[in-house]
Order: sequence, then structure tokens, then C-alpha cells
Amino acid sequence: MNGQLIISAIVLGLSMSGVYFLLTVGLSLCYGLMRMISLDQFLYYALGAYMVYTITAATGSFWLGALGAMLTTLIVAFAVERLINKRVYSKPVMFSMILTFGVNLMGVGLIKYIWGLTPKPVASPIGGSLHILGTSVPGYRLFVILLAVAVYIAVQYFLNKTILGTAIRAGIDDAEKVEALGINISRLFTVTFILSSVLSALAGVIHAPFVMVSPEMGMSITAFAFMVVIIGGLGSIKGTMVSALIVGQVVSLGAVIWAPLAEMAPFLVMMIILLIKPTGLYGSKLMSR
Amino acid sequence: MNSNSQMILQAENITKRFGGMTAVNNVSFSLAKNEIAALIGANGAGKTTFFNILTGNYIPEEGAIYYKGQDITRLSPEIRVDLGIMRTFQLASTFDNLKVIDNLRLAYYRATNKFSLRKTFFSRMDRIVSAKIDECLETFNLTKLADRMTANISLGEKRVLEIAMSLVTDPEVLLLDEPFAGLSEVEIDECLTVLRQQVHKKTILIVEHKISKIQDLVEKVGVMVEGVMIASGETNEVLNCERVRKEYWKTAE
Repeated sequence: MNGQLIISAIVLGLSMSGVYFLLTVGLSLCYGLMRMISLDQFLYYALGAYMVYTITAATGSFWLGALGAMLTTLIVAFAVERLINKRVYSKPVMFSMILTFGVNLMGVGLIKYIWGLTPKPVASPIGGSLHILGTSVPGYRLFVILLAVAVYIAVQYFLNKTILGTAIRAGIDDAEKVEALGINISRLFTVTFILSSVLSALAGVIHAPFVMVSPEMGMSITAFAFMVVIIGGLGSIKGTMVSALIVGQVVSLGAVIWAPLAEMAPFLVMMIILLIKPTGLYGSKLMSR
Repeated sequence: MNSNSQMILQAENITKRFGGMTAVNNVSFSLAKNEIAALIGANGAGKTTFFNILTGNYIPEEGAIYYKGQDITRLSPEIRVDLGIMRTFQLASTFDNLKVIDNLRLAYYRATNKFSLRKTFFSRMDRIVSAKIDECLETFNLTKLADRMTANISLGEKRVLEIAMSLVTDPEVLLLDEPFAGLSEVEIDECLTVLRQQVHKKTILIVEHKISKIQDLVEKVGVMVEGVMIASGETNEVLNCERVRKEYWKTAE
């Protein structure tokens, strides 16, 4: 095994971590505030990928495609939240899982109807590569890593520094009390859901050039996303980030060491962490409620 | 419009049922401006249900709530806050995962601004600066705790913070749901000191299990037994009334 291989595996792992983080931060926020497991996030992930494919093909600009994908998802997520999801907020978490799983299946069906079953390619918008310690690293992978870092900082800034973010954190503690302050909690729910969904779409957008865009792409990333959420602890943004970093590295370094490890090792890591800390690394009292 | 314009908050013939059970049965109660009153009763007497009707969390089947003569029976809790009615919770309604000062800032911000998404998305929390917040920290002896996470302060301090959060919004009516529940004697005294400062400055209604702690503080008392208001009026008069002595003391003590 040589050093170059390891460096490129680490970079690959980091870029995967970026995708995982963007996808799971929404799951985490939705659980934290609304106490719902929003399985439809995987639909927005696929929708993001399909929209970037379509708009890129039509206009030739990936960036325009990315913007369009996020805007489309914003509208779809708003409609889903107002028409469907808001009905289960007050119900036990199982309702939201079943309902959003249904929304996910329905959406995937629509995707198959609109775009067909053939996987679609999306070209990487950033060509070229950088040399790091004698290893050639694709520029686009670095971009994905930097983007994820930027989103992490932005989300933390939003939640910790802005008034709306503080109100959302207050709601994560107790939604009913936020209402008693005179803040319309249902609007906070909508904002959080849309924010989560747009980030999921962004995950799909940036992941598209790495993989073929296919109707089942949301399904195939589900296991990894849940692993990230479970290892990190639901409701913690920092936990999600740390856990995404772990899973990304385990997958890519695992593959370098022994190919079958890539699929297996993350589950092993998850098992070990859960044995030691059943609420996940940064799991809070949220889990026990 | 109701007849008595001196009353700031009036509940008239309120009835609330849950399934077959009548939790509140034809209850009337009113508060004059800057009066401090208590609503007492044993557990299950319906006082919390009645309280939740005043705050807008429940809508009664019968009867009406008037605030300054306006019918607010069906208005949401959010709108009642806008009108100047603030409440506290039985379990302290402070936010554990925020700093003490951010609890106050959030309450203050909401009371002085319409909560618009655009504005709150782009404004920073630490830009909410007001002499009112500093004054509140000072008055309630919270200055040294300002930057602590609320999760790490004592229950008594949380209860004081909660009252501070209500008062920083400068409400006209303050509704306190069992403010002394779970507090030590020392903490209760601290809370009482805080409340005494507000007597005749705000209209205050305290819901309590037992009257003993607040007997000398409140001017008016309503006693509920099994969903019915068995007596209400001037404190000593009510507490000495035959029926209250028989029915309330029997169940509460």
C-alpha cells in the first residue's frame, strides 16, 4: 500500500463526508425541532440530482442547475410540509416515519415516470486537479469538501447567532414554551423543514457528478445516512459533522485496505459506538424523550 | 361588551369538558387592573384547565373571556401575548440550551417586534440590546449568570429567570402557573421578593396548590373544588368562609 493511495482515499472520504453531512444535517434538525424522522429528505436528495442533471443539460451550466435544483426543492418541500407533514407533528414519531416513507416512495415513482429508469450522467463542473504531497487530487472533490465546511459554519452561525436560529434552538428544547413567548411555532417548523430539504437537495447536486443519477439513489444512500445520524446522535449538528467524517473515512480507507470492508466496516464502527454510547457520540437528552 | 370596565381580565361562566368529564364548570373570575390574585385548589380541581383557558391553550365549550372589554375567548396564545397577557409554566419555561441572557433577549425581542422571518433570519441575537434587559438582569440578580447556559443554573434561578422573561416584555397581565412548585424554602423566598416588587405595577394571577405561601401577598382569591369555583373575593373573607374551610382545607391539607 502506498502513500498516494492513502492520500487520495482520505480526500475521497472527506468528499463523501461532505455529501453525508449535507444530507443528514436536515434529518437531524427535523428530529430536533419537530421530533419527526423525515425520510422524504432522501427524495429531495434525488430530486436535487435530477434537477441539476436536467438544467445542466438544457443550459450547459452546472451552477445554474445547482441553483435551479435548490429552488425547485424549496417549492416542493414547502408544498409537502404544508399539505402533508404538518399533520403528523403532534403525533408519535412513528407516524412521521411511515408518512414520509410514503412521500419518498411516491416521489421516487414520479421521478421514474418523468425521467425514466436509465441512470443519467452529470459532468463534473470543475476540471483539473491539484497536487497534494505528490498525489493528484481532483479539483471538484476539494470543492465539495470546502462547500461542506462552509455549510457547517453557516448552519452553526445561523443556529447560534441569529434570532431565528436561537428561536429554533429554543424550540428544540421545548416547542410549546416557544409558543408561549408569542412565536408562531408552525412557521419555525416550516422554515426548518425547507432549510433541511434544500440542504438535502444540495447533497444530491454535489453528489451527482460522482455517481450516476438514478431513481434509487436516495434509497441506496439511506443506510449510510442513518449510520451517520445514529453514530453522531440525533439532533446534534456537531455530532452529525463528526460522524460524517468518521463514516466517510471508514468507507474510503476501508476500501483501500480490503474492498469488502467499504460496505461492512461502517456497520462495525456503528455497532461498537452504540455498544459504548447508545445515544450516539453527541446524542443528547433528546433521545430519551 | 361587558358591563364592568374596571376589570382588565374577565372570565364569564366558563365550562370546559374533556370527553364526559367536566373539568371546569360554569366558572367566573375577574381581575382588576394592577390587582394581585390567586387561584387555589387541590390537584385535579380544574385550576390548571381554567388557567389554560385564560392563556388561550384551551377553548371553552361555554362562556367567554374578556380582556379590556374585548372578547378574546377564541384568540390564539400568540395573539394574547401581543395584547399583553404573558404566562409562565408549571415546569420553568426557560430554555435550557440557551444562555440566560438569550432567554431574556428572545422574550424581549418577540414582545417588541413582530416575529418576521426575513428580519430574524438576518439579525444577530447579540444585537438585541436594551436598557430593559440590563435592568431586568439587575433587578432579578441575574447579571452574574447572564452568560451561563440555562441548563446549568438552579431551579430557583430558572423560576426567577422565567418571571424576568415575562416582565421584560412589559405585559399588562402576568399569569403564573404554580411558580413555587419544586422550589426550596430559600428559593421560594427569593421568588416572593421578586413578586413583591411587582405588586400594584402589574395585574398578576397566581395559580397555586396551597395558599399559605402567598396569603399575605394576594388581595383576592378564588377557590376551586372539583371544577367549580366555590368562593371568590377578598382574601381573608374567602379563607374564613365556611364552605372554603370545609371543602378546600379538607382536600388541600
